[in-house]
Amino acid sequence: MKSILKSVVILFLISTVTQLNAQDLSARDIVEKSNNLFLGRSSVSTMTMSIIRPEWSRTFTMQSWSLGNDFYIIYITAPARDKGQIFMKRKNEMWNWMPTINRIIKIPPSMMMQSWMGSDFSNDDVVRANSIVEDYTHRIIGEKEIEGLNCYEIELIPLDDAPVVWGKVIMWIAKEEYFQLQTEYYDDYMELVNIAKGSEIEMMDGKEIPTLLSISPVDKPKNITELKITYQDFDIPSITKSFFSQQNMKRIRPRNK
Amino acid sequence: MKKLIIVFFLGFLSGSLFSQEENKNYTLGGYLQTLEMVWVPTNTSQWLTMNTLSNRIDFRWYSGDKIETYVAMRNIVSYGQIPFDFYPYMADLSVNDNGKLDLTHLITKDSSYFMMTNIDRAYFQFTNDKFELVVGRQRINWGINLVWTPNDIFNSSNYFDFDYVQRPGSDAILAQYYTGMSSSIQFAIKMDKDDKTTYAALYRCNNWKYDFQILAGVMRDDIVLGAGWAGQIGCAGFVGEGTYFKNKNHSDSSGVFVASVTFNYSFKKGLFLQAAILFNSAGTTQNAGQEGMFALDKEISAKTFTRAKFSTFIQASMPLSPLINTSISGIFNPNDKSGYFGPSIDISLNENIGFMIMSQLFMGNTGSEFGSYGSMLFSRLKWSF
Repeated sequence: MKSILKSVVILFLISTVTQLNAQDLSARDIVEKSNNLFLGRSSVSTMTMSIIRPEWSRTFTMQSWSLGNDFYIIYITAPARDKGQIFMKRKNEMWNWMPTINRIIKIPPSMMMQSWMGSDFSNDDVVRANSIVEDYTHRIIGEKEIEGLNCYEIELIPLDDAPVVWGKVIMWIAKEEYFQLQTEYYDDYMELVNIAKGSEIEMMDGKEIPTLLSISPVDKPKNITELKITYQDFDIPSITKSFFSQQNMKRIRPRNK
Repeated sequence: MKKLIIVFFLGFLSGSLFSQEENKNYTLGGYLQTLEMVWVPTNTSQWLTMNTLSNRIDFRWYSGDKIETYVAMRNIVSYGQIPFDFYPYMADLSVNDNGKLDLTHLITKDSSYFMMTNIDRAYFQFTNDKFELVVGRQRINWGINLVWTPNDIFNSSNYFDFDYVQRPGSDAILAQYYTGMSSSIQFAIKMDKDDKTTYAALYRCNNWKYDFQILAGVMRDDIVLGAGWAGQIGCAGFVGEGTYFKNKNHSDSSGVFVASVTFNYSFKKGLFLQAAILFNSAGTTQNAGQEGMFALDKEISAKTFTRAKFSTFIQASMPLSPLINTSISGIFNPNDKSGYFGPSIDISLNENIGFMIMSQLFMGNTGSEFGSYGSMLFSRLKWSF
């Protein structure tokens, strides 16, 4: 589970909500706005993650409770083998509660960086959610309509000393809504490696958000990992920093939805 | 035989009936599996086999916000040549329950098979704000490492028993108070079948990105003092724990210090490496073999994981695809030069059915720690619900 869940959730949540209007913003402002829209906000969501291959597929379902980018709890609800496992992140630290052995395991940093269950979500593109602002220079290079929404096309080039695996990232961010509707990841040789797409914009808790995130490597376009939000609720008063305690990690129970 | 069929049928039914269940005030889960074991003892070329069908049912019931009830049971039938060759020793060993309450029941046995049922969890948990009280058969897991857990004075377990990750429970009372986000004070007491008690207090906290714990108490005949941590050096995981044991009845006896440290590291493509060492001040640097036919058939406690002074462990695991996980682990006693080698492959056949093949190959001279166990091959088909 580990990093990729964290990453996926963070990336996904970041790319949601907004009521701000685009004005004359710099490329960096746009990326930062898109990145920060979720900062400090609490939410609960129910998600399905599917690893899809030409010959087979596997599906995981999970529920999450989160506060900004720094705090979250994820409860695995399926498959049966992993059911009841819980992951909690507080800032840079992460723990895994395994009810079968009644133990909390602290997840070391190297494991947090690992890909999860062979999904196509890689690490550095998403784990450091803030780095799309801090670690790159940004430039608007065009416009495109995606999912019927007008998008800025923004090129992100990593700073020389940035701990980033990508040579370049291109993002399409909706002008009005700040959704990250498409992201292309290029390696150091400027070869396109992965494409991530946000789609299926639906109303969740009174706000329209892209509810499906899919990512696929360019050289294996039929290998797809999808993350679908089936339920989301924002600004939950009971979710404060103290919600993310070891006691609560062990006690939390799955919600009805 | 009829009883056997009925129990397994019920296992199946409970799985299919309840696996769809969504959030209610209870959860029900478990598995049904078949495990084939082939054993090649040392000094013979004869293969011995045993098949074990087992079913586990985990039931949690939440009455309101404050009270949780958890009951879990295993139903097991083993048959084949090994139970026959070691009749009735093997059947008797399997139904041994170390708890104060005897919750393990032999349903039936004959020379070629035995069938048993075992309740390994049965407790009530009461929660009030920061306070928790757990009463009944439970697993109190204070260990930190994967293989050797000297802090695990209530439920320490045998690494080679790979097929029983839940482990037996203790008949105990655990009181816990959470003093912060990641800190707590616990006090626990358990009683064994022979009326000996283990009781101890543990304080856990988090500082400088490390989890720390210290414990003090009595484990049966020993006064214990222990401490452990889980943290990192660079990106590598760095965990360890140590416990000092001193016989409370013989003040002139010397104490025993048992400690284990583990490093682990995950590489980009999913390769996960870990290495651990165990030190036992009372251990021997000579041959560390002991009685017992199987590697599983050992009395394990936090004080006696092995008779060796030093033990080393290394493991590499790597997913070949999201469906196939492989792992190789090894344990080596540097003094008597005996060791264990355990390759395994685990394949996901569909969302809920897994197939695993693994081997436990023991090597060493006569009298050495691992020299007398021979080699074992296991294959397991497991349906989780």
